[in-house]
Amino acid sequence: MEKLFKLSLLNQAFKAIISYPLRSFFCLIGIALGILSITLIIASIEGANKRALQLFSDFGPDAILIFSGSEQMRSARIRINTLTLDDMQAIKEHIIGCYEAIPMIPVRNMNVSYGDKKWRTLGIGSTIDYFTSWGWRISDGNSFSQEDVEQYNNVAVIGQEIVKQIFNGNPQSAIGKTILLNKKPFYVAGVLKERGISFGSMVLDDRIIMPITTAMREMLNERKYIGAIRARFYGDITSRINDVTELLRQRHGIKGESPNDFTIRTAEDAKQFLLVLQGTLVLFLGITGSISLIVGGFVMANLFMISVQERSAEIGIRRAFGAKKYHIILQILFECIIISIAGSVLGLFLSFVAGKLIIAYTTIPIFFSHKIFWITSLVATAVGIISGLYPARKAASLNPVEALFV
Amino acid sequence: MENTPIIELKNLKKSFFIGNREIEVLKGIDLKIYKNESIAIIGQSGSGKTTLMNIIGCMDKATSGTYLFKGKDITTFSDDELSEIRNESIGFVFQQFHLIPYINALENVMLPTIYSKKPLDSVKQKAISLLTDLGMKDRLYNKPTQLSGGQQQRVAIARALINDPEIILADEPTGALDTKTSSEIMDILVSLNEKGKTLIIITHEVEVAERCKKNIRISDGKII
Repeated sequence: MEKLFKLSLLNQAFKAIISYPLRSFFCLIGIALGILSITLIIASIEGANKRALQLFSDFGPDAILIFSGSEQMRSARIRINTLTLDDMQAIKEHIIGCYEAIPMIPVRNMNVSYGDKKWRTLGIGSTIDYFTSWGWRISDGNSFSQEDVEQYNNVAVIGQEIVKQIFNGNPQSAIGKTILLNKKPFYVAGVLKERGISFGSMVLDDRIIMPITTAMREMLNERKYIGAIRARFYGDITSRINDVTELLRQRHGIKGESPNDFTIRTAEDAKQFLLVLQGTLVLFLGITGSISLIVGGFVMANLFMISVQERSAEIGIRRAFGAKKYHIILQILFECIIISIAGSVLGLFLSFVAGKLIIAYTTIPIFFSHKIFWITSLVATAVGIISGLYPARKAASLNPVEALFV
Repeated sequence: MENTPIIELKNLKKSFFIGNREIEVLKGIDLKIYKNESIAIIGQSGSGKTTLMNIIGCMDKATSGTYLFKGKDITTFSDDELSEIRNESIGFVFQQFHLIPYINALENVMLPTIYSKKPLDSVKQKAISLLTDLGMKDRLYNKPTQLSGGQQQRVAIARALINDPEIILADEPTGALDTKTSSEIMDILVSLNEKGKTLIIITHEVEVAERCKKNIRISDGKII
């Protein structure tokens, strides 16, 4: 019985919504735009979270990255090489629990050319362990060999972005070709599997890996120093970092309070960096999104206030035939809630479309989860109730006599 | 029990405030209406007859005095309790018909049942048969704007009857209709009285008042 009664009130609310299409439409759009912005914000937060986790696992939770140059120098963008291959060997031999250490040296702004195609990319010199250490498989062809490293051979493994730019996206056609890197001929031995992720302007797939010896001697004319060392350990990573710091300070002759001439990064640091970035973004976007939804709510409250004035005769009629105040309140609230929910459905749909566009044309990570659905439905219902409450109470408090005879 | 009036007003007064000035619209009304009576309350505009109707119809409260409804003092009833009386016992018929514009004739007739505690299953059948009896069989699904004045008033009468109230309270029911339609509507109302409804009509038209068995004149807030 009671159920049936509520259903018929709901039915009346539906009819009223359809009968005042312009009012309903404007309310709907207001709510939809609010939900759109909130949904996109949640989706980008979740996308960023996923990316941070991805980064964490890509980096390896048991790994550290040691860069040349102190923290201050790095933040001032002063590049100085202080680490050596001997440092790497020392870490491998003296630090307990170290099961892997690889050297890396960057060749920045390296020119690639093949035929009439030209591209500029990042070259990285490393050892054959580079691929296993980063968990980065070779999709076509092979890695360079230990022999290549020992003999300074001009052999390269290229990333998918290079394949796209130079070889029309066909990795098979790249294998065995000779390309020019800074005008020096290199044999393409293999192609890296696509990573598909990027950090800001840095696209992971846009790189070429070569033997570290080749990079040092042929490309950079560098005899001693390397750019960075990646090492992986068993056991507690924090105490390993202390051990490494101690060892390198000793080897570099740094005493007392003097600052390190190297910087150590862990997966945790990388994650923190992303989370900090995200924190300010969330705050900014959160405020923007909430404001747009609040505006939507105000639009609805406002339009319903006007509507209640216009419909005072209807309210008077309902009251004359036995509607209690709460019946009137319920009907107006139902109208608001229905519009809000419909608006949130529209907003969700728009955000899926917008999300697809963002994924297609930008590097902003967007991820839609079922959580978004629940949050928006909840928020929409809340907005419906909050913006409907005042007009509904106003409608219920109309004197039926005055409402009828205006 | 047979002699208990269905409506009894004792020294009923009603005043309104306009700014700081108190205007007394009803100046002590004593009135007894018995079951199955048909009464016309006659008065010029400004005489207080509409205010009286609103109070009889439980839409407004008196400033002082007593209102006994079926022997029960309802003077201090709450808004919700008065709503229940309107819903169950009073069927309103208004001069301007007052149908809800965005629902059809049938839905308008069923409107009071939304707010009543009666089972809803048979309501639609009942609404259809009421409209059919009033000659509106072909107009069930028309919106009020697609109906003539007389047709709208028939829908309004069917709506007043849907919850089987004891009292039909009509405020100038023919005021917006032409002579021919007026007399048709009056025929319907009189026949309802003959079938046992208590009929109270507020009017200033002599022709309408003549159709009722009892006439009460109201002037300057008093029954004369």
